[in-house]
Amino acid sequence: MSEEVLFPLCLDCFTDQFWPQTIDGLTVGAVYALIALGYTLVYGVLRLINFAHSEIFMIGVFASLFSMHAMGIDRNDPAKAGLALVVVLVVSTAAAMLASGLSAVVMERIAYRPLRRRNAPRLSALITAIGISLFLQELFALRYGRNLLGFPRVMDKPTLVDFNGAIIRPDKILIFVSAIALMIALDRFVAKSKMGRGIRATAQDAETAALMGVNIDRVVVLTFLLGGLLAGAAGALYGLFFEFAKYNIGFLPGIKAFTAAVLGGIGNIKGALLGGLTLGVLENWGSAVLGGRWKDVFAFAVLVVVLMFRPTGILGEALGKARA
Amino acid sequence: MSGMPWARSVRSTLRRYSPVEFVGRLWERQNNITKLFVCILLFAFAAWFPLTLELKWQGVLFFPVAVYILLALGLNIVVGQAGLLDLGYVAFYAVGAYTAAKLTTTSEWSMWQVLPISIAMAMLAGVLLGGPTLRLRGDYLAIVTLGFGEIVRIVAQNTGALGESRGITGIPHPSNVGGLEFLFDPVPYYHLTLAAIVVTILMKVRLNRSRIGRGWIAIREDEDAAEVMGVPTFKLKLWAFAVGAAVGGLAGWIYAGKTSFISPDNFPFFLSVLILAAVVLGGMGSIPGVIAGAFLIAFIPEWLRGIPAGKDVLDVLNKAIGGHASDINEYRQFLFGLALVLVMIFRPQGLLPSRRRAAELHEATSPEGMGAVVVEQTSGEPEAELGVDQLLGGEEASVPIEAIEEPAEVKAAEFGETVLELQNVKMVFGGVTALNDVSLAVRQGQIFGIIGPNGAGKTTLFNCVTGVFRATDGDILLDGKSIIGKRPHLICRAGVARTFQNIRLFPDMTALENVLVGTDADHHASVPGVLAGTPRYYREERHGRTEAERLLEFVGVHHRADDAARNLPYGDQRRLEIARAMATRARVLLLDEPAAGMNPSEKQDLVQLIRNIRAVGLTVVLIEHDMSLVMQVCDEIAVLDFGEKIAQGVPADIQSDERVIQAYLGVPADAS
Repeated sequence: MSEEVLFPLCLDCFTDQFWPQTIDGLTVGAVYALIALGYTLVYGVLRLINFAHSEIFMIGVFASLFSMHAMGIDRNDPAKAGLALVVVLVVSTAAAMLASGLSAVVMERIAYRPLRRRNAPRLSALITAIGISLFLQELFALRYGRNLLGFPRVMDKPTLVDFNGAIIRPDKILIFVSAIALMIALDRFVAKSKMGRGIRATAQDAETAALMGVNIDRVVVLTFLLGGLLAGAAGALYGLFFEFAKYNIGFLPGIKAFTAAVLGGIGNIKGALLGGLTLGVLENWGSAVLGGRWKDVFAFAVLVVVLMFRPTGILGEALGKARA
Repeated sequence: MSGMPWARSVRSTLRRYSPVEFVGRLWERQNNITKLFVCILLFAFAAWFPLTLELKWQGVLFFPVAVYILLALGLNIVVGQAGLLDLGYVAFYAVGAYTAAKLTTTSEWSMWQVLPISIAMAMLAGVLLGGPTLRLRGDYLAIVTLGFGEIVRIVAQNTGALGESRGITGIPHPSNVGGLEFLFDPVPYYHLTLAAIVVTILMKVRLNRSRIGRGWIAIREDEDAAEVMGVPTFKLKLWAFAVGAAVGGLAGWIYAGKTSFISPDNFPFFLSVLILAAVVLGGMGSIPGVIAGAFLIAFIPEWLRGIPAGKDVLDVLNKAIGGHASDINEYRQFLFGLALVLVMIFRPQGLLPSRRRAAELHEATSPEGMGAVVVEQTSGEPEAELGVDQLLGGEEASVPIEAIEEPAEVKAAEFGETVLELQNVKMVFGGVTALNDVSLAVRQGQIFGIIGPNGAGKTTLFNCVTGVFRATDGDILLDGKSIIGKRPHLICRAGVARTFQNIRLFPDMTALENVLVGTDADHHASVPGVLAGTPRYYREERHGRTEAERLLEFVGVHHRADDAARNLPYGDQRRLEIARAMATRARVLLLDEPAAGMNPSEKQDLVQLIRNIRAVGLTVVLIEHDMSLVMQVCDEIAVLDFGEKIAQGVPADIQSDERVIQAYLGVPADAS
């Protein structure tokens, strides 16, 4: 047999690439966290893992790209600056959020609600989710092809700071800051608003919440909508960073975001943030040590290990306990 | 807005006019010989038909269809039987194929020689995946298996020894056997796959009729109750994974031998989903259904591709969704994704369902369902009402005392040795102490009552004894041996069985099957033993059946033996649960509020039943709120209040005990 080492461990690479990998990990991790919130909200209220959430994210990426096309931005156009840049970013993000949010609501209405009505077993819900996922991916593949669709570069990405090889760029800052801001907004919304209180009440005890006058259907739609909006924003940010769209672009980020949600404690909003950032950084460190092609295996392994040893995640499962 | 009535009407129309239902009923009426004959005929036809086709390409099609069917049958054991959603099934297919490819291309071994190794490696992969993950809840398990499938594919893609993304080429064909020449003609491979399908079906049918298959169904319907009734849930789930994986590995071996070339691209995630779609579309758990589902998924796209009308179908589809596909095959995943969603809405039981699964999939039977409201399960105490006058034997007592012979004052010495002993048992949940320093000794042949107000810790005590909870401190001895920390099924096998406060039968199993699951606690036929048909297996099956029938008669439910447990009247369900617990050959029977919800005449029968149970030599521990029943039937009573034992003694003493009366009535205001 060959002398090849299956996992060529490279610890020097780790120390060399520590800062670059950490910065990139935090950037991508923030996006994972945004997607993870969708899993967490729906799980908190329905105890359902919405496998099709990755496709909601994918729709966001496409919607962001198409809104740029609609604004007449071509692949070869020069990068925007100033007010034009702000307008493009706001419009494309809003389009992505809207498209994803609506898709999520429609999905709940058409596919999940009939199952919920007759109290179908979980297996049915999971199979439905897989069906939706396949359907949406293939719909986009058939309409827009199976190849990469490039994004126009709307934003210059100069190096602002080079910290031990870690390149800090405006787009990374933008992604990280807006992801965190959205998450704080969501956390406040769930903790403070009346509708947020409905969500928390339903998450703790749906039956009692219903008896106390909470409209469960509305709460469910709201959670799908919120999850969809955030996934759409994540899609727009992801597109800005990686600059491509593809029918199966949601698959890996979707699974990783789920891993992040579980890692932080599914059903827990702050946990999703913590889990997303942790997973983003961990998988980048892992790819530094093991080589980039093992990155995804590493993320899956993290998922298995977390589920084996601490299935309730770092912060525990508790949407209902999100406090003001 | 209210609840999609159209979905329901479509469902019922489908049910009423489906030819499938008609054939299904016809089939049920045939005897076994006819059934066997029809099956043989069908398979003979399946084997012979491709030979009659003149066009070679038509024959080519049969091989992939058969491989799909084989894979779907394998996955069906995992998803359809044991109810474990495996989204990475293709990994086992890949392991079988890669094992065969690697060994035959780097050693002198022939394809036939590596066949057992391929299957064994796939099984090993199944056990490696299942071992750490099978304790996870259903949806977590699904996503972990998905991850596992991807890990296997990426490892193959990244490993030099496995050819990376180039894959492995030059895999030899199997050498010829019995007139089948394995070269480039696909028909012999098709026959080989057909043989594998027959073996898989026989295996499934056989396992289904044994304690293994019953255990799988029990796990699917109520895993916790199954464990407490002596079903080794973890082991059986692992076996489901291993058997399913073995079939996947076999399919992989066949595939590698046929194509001589495999690469990671042959084992994408979507293949797992397509196989799952086949299982779901056809009807989980039903063999004809799964075959039909796999046939649809593998055959229809290819068939449409071959006929001229296929072009029109393609145009219509392209126009409908604005697609640009040039080949109908590109629509395969799209349409089957859509089909999965529609089937779950309109016909969750699939096209050709098995009877039992139809009921289960339509509505959740366990509290695991995805309800409009999520009902959290609490481990707390029941909301049973307790009248004060019941305690004090007042006129509202629901069992007229004079109707039953007053039990003679029983002296402690009349009973045998201590069978069940609790020593200073303590159970703490977070900051709540549910049981504090409880010590009890129950002696052989006793009817031992445990009473106390709601929240006193009575059910928690049962949960500690049966191993559902692990007591925080103290010891629990059965025949002098500690049973603390043992898994519930082992405690059951050691001789403690219970019933549940909120009845937890396996709702879609028949009454007889419910009791058979109980008898299996004492049976040990293994999966290989069942498959080989060892004498022990047959002996145990015969013994189980006689025993189950006897017990059904003992509790008086024998006239409903073949009805699904969920259709039994309430009182019968309670009695059936007792029969199931007795079937485990337990020596100590824990009854958790057996009289709850019973009317006076049913309670009367229950008193007699409990006495009969003692008469056949069992020891009974009874939690009950109906005081007059407790006072009548119990030899000794322990009273719990706020997790502490406040009194113990014969019924007469308990009735006059100050602390007991205070516990129920509260402390009088003038007491200091």
